[in-house]
Order: sequence, then C-alpha cells, then structure tokens
Amino acid sequence: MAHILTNPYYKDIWSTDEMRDVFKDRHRYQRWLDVEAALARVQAKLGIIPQDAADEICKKAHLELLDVDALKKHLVQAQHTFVPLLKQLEKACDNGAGEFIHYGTATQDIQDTATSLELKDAFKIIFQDMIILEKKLIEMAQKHSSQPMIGRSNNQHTLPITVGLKAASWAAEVRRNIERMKDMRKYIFVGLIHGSTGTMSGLGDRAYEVVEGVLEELGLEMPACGWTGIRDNYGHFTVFLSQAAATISRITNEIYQLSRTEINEFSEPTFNSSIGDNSTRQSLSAQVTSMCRIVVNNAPLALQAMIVEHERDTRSWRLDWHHIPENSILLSKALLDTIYLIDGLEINEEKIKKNLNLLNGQVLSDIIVSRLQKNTGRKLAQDLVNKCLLDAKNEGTAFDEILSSNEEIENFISKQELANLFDYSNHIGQSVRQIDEVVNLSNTQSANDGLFLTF
Amino acid sequence: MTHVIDSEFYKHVYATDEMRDVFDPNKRLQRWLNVQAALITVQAKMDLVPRAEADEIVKCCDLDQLEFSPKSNNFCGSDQLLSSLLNAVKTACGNDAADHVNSGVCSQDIQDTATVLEIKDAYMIMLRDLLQIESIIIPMIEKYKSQPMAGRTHKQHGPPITIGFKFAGFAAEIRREIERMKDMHKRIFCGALHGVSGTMLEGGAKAYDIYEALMDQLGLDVAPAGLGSARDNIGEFQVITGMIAGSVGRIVNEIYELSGSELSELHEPLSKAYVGSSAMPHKRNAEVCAFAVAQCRIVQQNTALGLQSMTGEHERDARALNLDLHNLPETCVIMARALAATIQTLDGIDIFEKNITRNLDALDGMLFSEALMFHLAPKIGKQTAHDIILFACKEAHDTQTPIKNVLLAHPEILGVATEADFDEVMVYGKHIGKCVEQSDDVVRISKEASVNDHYFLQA
Repeated sequence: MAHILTNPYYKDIWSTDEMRDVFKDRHRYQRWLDVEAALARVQAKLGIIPQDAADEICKKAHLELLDVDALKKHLVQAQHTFVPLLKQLEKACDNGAGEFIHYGTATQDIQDTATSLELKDAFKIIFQDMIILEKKLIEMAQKHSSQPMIGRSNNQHTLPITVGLKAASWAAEVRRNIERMKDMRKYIFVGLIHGSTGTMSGLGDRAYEVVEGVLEELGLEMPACGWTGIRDNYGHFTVFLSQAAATISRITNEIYQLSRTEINEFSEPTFNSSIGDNSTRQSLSAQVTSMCRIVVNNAPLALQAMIVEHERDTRSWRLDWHHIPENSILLSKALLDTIYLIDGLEINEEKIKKNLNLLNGQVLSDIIVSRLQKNTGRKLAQDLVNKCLLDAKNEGTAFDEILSSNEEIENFISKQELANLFDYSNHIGQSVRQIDEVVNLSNTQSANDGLFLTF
Repeated sequence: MTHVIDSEFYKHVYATDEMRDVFDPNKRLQRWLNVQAALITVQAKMDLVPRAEADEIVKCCDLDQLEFSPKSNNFCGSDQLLSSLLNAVKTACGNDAADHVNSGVCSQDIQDTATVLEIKDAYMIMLRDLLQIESIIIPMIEKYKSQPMAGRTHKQHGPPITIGFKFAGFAAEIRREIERMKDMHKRIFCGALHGVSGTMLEGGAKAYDIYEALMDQLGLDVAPAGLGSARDNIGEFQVITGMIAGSVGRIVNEIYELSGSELSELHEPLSKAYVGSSAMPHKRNAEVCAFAVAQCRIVQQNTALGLQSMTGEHERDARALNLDLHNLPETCVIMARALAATIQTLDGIDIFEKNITRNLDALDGMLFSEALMFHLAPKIGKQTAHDIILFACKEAHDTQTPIKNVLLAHPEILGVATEADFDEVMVYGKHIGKCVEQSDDVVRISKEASVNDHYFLQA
C-alpha cells in the first residue's frame, strides 16, 4: 500500500473509513454489477431479454459469487478495465443467461453510471459535514460576538475586530459553498446508458425506455444527451471540492497562524494521546491545510479532463478515476478535522486581550484624531496625535500614556473620555450586526437544505 | 512584447479590444473614482457631508480633468496608487471639500468594489458570447441531426453518430456553462464597504445604511459580512471561467482534430487573406482553433491561482489580493479571445460532407460490428456473436478483407445469414440510434432554460 490514503499507519490521519468506503475497489465493482442487474431487470420488463435470464443475472450479480482470482488474472492479461468482470459474471450465470448481460451497452455506461452513484454518496457526506461545520462556526460567532480581538491587515495590527466576526466570516463562506453545492446538484447526478458513442443505437427502438428505466431504478437523472465525450459534470464536482478546500484551508491556516507561540490567541483542542497519558497538542490545523492544498491542486487536472476528444477519450476519463476519489476522500477528512478543531478550539482570552494592546493604542490613533478634530480642526488634531506617536517611538514609551499626559489634549478630552476612547470594545463597529446578518441569511438559505439530502 | 495580450503585433490573436478595454489601467482608476463619487453622493444624501462639497468632489472624480501622473518607479503598491489618485482629487476640489474625500472607507473597499464592477463587465461579455455560440450551434443541430458521421472512441471508429448529434453535445455543455454562470450571479456581485478590518467601524452608526445605499447606486449586491479575506466569490468566478475554458476548449479542439489531412471532416472557415505556411502553399492549418485551445489551457491553469488567492490570512492579505491583479485581467482577456475564436470558427464552419461519408467506410464495414452482432444474436446468442465477430474483425483487419466476406465464410454463420441479410443491415443511416431524438431534446432543453437569459445580461 504505497498511497498515503491506504497506508496502514497513516490512512486514518488522511482519510475516514466512511469516505474510503464509498470508493473502495470492491464497492466499485459491486456498483458495476448493480448497474448490470438494473439494466437486465428493466430490459426484461420491456420484453427485450427473457425474464428468466434477467432473474439469473440479478441473482449472480454479486462480487462474492464470482471468481475474483480469475478476474484479477484476466485484468492483467486483457489490459481492459471492465471486460474481465463481465466475463466472470457471464461464467457464473447458468442456463445461457450470460448471453443477455450488458445488452446493448458499453463499458463506459457502466463505469460512469457507477461513478455518478459514488458522487451521490460523496456529496451527501460532504454536504452534511459542511452543514455541521457551519453550525459550529455560527455557535462560535454568537458566543464571542462582541469580544474584541486585534484585526490584522498584511500581518500588521489595525483596527480591532471581534472573535465572533472572524468566525462569522468563515461561516458565511461555508454557507456560500453549501449554496454552490445545491446549485451543482442538478448537473452531476446524471447516468449514462447511451452506448459507446452515445447514440443509444445498441438499445434498439425502446432505447429511451431502457435508459429512463435504469436511471430511475438507480436514482439518477436523465441527461440532455449522451455524454460519453463530455465530462463537465465530473469536472464541476472536482473543482467545487477544490474551491471548498480553499475555504477550509483559509480557516485552518488562520488557526495555525493564530496559535503560533508569539500570538497564541487560539490553541487546538488538547486530547489524550494513545501513548501513555501524555497530553499532546497535535498540529491538526497544519495537517488539514496540507490536505486542502492537494485538493486545490487537483482542480487543473479535472479541468484538463474536460477537453475530451471525439465520442470517448480514455485520456480524460482515467484522470477522473484519480481526482474524484482523492479529492472526495481528502476533503471529507479535512472537513471532519475542521469541525473537531472549531468545536474544541481554545480561545485564549487573556492573550487576545494582551495582543490587542500590543501597540499601546496606536491602532486607535485615527479615532483619537477624529475625536480631537471636533475641537481643533483636522490639521491640528493630526499634528498633535502625530507628535505623540513620534514621542512614543523616540522615547520607547507607550503611546496611550504619552497621549494621556499631553496637556494640550487634556484641554479637550477628559481622562474619563480618553479611557473610553482607549477601550477597544467601543470600536468593534458593526461586528455584532454583521454576525446577525450572517445568521439570518443562513437561517433563510438553510430552510431547504434537507431537500438536498433526500435522494 | 512584454505580455502577449498587449503585444503590438499579436494582441488581435490573444485578446479582444472589448475585453482588454474592461481592464484598461485608466478605466480602473476611473472606476475607483466612480466608487468614490458614488460614496460621496450617498453620504451627502444622508447629510453626512455638505451638499456643495459633495458636488465639488463628484465633479473632480474625473481622471481626464485630474493632474495625475504617477511614476511607476516610485509607486510600491495598489494602495499607494489609490491614495495618490485621491490626493489629486483633494488638490483639485479645494480645502473644504478635501476633508471629506475617502472618509469612512478604506482603500481595499474601493479597489474590491471596482474589481467586482470589472468582473461584472467581463461576465456580461462572456455570457453574451456563450449565448451566441449556442445560437450558432442550434440551427446546425437541426440541419444535420440525421446525417451519419463516424463515431470515434479512443480514436477508433465506433458506432456512427450524426453531425447534428456532435453539435448537440457541444450545445448541451455550453448551455450548462450558461446555467452555471446564471447560478453564480446571485453570489459574486457583492461590493465592499467594510473598512480596514471589516467591522465597518469607519462608517459610524449609519454604516449599514451607507453600505446598502452605495451598493444600490452602483448596481451591486450586499454581502452579509465583510469580504476582506473571504475571496471565494472571485474564486468562484475564476473556477467557472476555467470550466468554460474546458467546454469551449473541447469544441475548438474537436474541430482542430477533425480538420487534419486524413480526416478533413470539419474546418474553421478560411478567409481570402489566409496564409497557412511560410513554406508550403497548400497548408490549411486550423490556426484559429489552435490558438483557442492554447488559450483555454492558459485560462484553466490560472484557475489554480484563483483558488490560491482564496487562502488569505487574517483580515487582509496582499499575497492573496495581488494574485487577482494578475489573474483576473489575463484570464478574462484570454477567455474572451477564445470565445470570439469559437464564434469565428463555428459561424460559417466548413462541413465536408463527402469526406464524412468516405471516412464512415474507412473500416470497410467493420463499423457495423455491433449491428451485425445484434442481427446474429437471436440466432446464435449475443455473447457468441460478439466473440465470432471479434475474431472475424481481426482477420478482416489483418487480411484487408471486408468484414462481410469474412463472416460469410465463417462456419458458424453459414446457413444463419446471407449476403442480402448483411447488406440490409449495413446501412449507416439505420444505426444512428436515437441521435435525432437526443438532438431534439438538447434543443428543447436549451430553449426552456433560456427564457430568463435576458435577466442576466442586464447591467
């Protein structure tokens, strides 16, 4: 097992059982057999193949009934990704029923239709986890809605924000991704039983009934036309996951930054490690950020796969086998870890308070100017405050102390008023209102979330 | 030639004037001024700024009238460029008004809002061109929906398709891109007025009213929270543009492939002035398609950068913002050219029907392998027929004999089928499956979806 997603020592750090399961080799083969069985059932119902044959095919279309060793051997010899499985099914079917398997369809029909079924399972898991993450972020936003924290622009301190506003910005972005998923849903759950060049010619006169019947049975939608040489549905799925990964990594990267030793405003949740009783602080935010980079990096591959040639082109198709599972598995684990991180995030209030005043009030200088100019006019106010800033720098004294002891300023602003001006909680602007707006929008938009989980 | 989209000699190949104009450097500055002017108008309406001074500022927000010529060597960032522009406005409008310029706003607000206005213009052009591509393709679907053409899987001939069906595949995908553009419309046109750290502190008690009124004035939407480091909307625009490049790239790449000497089925229209080669006068290179494919690849590559610009740190992060300064103009300008090239290619495309028919026969009847299998299936079973035909095809290929003859000589076929049977089966027009119905479906679905297209083209 060379890949990190299957490496027995690392796989549980990089992936979840649940999502790995969706794309597991044997599940994939079973899905292929499920599609064949659905096809046989529908064709028998329409009188295209005998009912006995369909019954036999459905009875035998289970991987555990087939000779997997022979199948593997044949896969290596035939250099074909599908026919060996078909051959084993044919062999397992008694009374000549094997003649009626895969009737009028092509390899890609079975494989792509099964991939769309995988997408559905993956979609559901990711959608649910996004909603949980949004909920946790909203809780965090509301709990800390008015707790001041320093704002940083290009890594330099600037006007304060609140802890809650930071979380609300994340929540709003996660909600936009949820809405993007809802928009995407209508494009991606389509099946394909259209034959090798997409014309349905192998299915006979009642082709439409066959395709509609099979897709209905599998819970997939009917495409406008065959898409053997068109991959925008899968491209859309993967680039969306890449975009969601960029959002997740903005969150986890921020946690990573804010938990560095010098800043120490956030700490990742502590938990007991399995080795002894040592309480270990894991760098989970780093792990998630790197996983997200891989997911982001797969986007160009998925886009390249869209430039398909003619009616079918394996050079595109096989890229999908790489980027769809890898992106789904990594993003799903990244989401789960982020939920865990937000849920148990330690918010170090003391340190946040301390950092807020790291520059001794200099970030509020413009606010002092605005207040002062009411008495002195803008020009003089600016000069006075600039002088204090310069003195603070030259004397190595705190800006707020210098300002408080400036006699000219004392003439206009009382000690009490100055203390209020230097109180950061008076300068959080519309942070609380913005959090409310984010929550309101989420409440409105989430009303139909449930519809996207029932399929 | 510093960048190919602006090249004195090649800009017509890599760019369109129209889209380059959207990102014209002075237009950008003028947009900054427009946002500034709109803001001051709103502030005056709310009695936050005296009317006369607001009028004066609005009058001065005209790049042509300003004394402003920054030297590029002493300017070290977008913020500095904006502040020197605003200083020029302050100088122009006199002392009383100067105090009110850019109050309650930070430079990223002005720039981000102007960027969204740029994206909106670019969006309109792209959407318009996608609709035009669709409208050129649809009549061709109707015209050619039942005319057979070789179907090709992995570059090998497969069951025939129709010319119209191939175009239907293009149209269906282009329609989905149009719908994706419509989907994102509700999200991506939010402007910003959230101040330096996103709290709207600078706007005072009426911050929300000012913000809402400004967005209304500019024709933009209101975001629930500041977008300082949340750049997913711009990211989404670039992701969808990358997808459009995939769909458009597939069309021009297909035409390029089908225009090669051996196939020669489709070709971009060649003008009278066309020159194929400096050496060989006969060359008919599909030059427009070739450039368009290359351009689509560039656009797709930029999508990765668009995603990277989403991971900004803290409340603002120029390492993320600055990527968009590169990415957005390059992506939009090159995408616009690829779209124009696709229109140019499809509008008046050469369809060489004779070659299409000739190529259908390239395998001397082997293209009917599936049809022959189904013809034989009731008599000898489908899988048995499949295996017999598989080996017969190998023999036909190796000995260059028509498949019909090989099969007629096969011991298991003797007495099962006659030459006349085979001749009746081996007619291409009989094996186009549901190409016509599918083509009709695509046209119908496009028409149904297009009823609200016009809404998305309104500024």
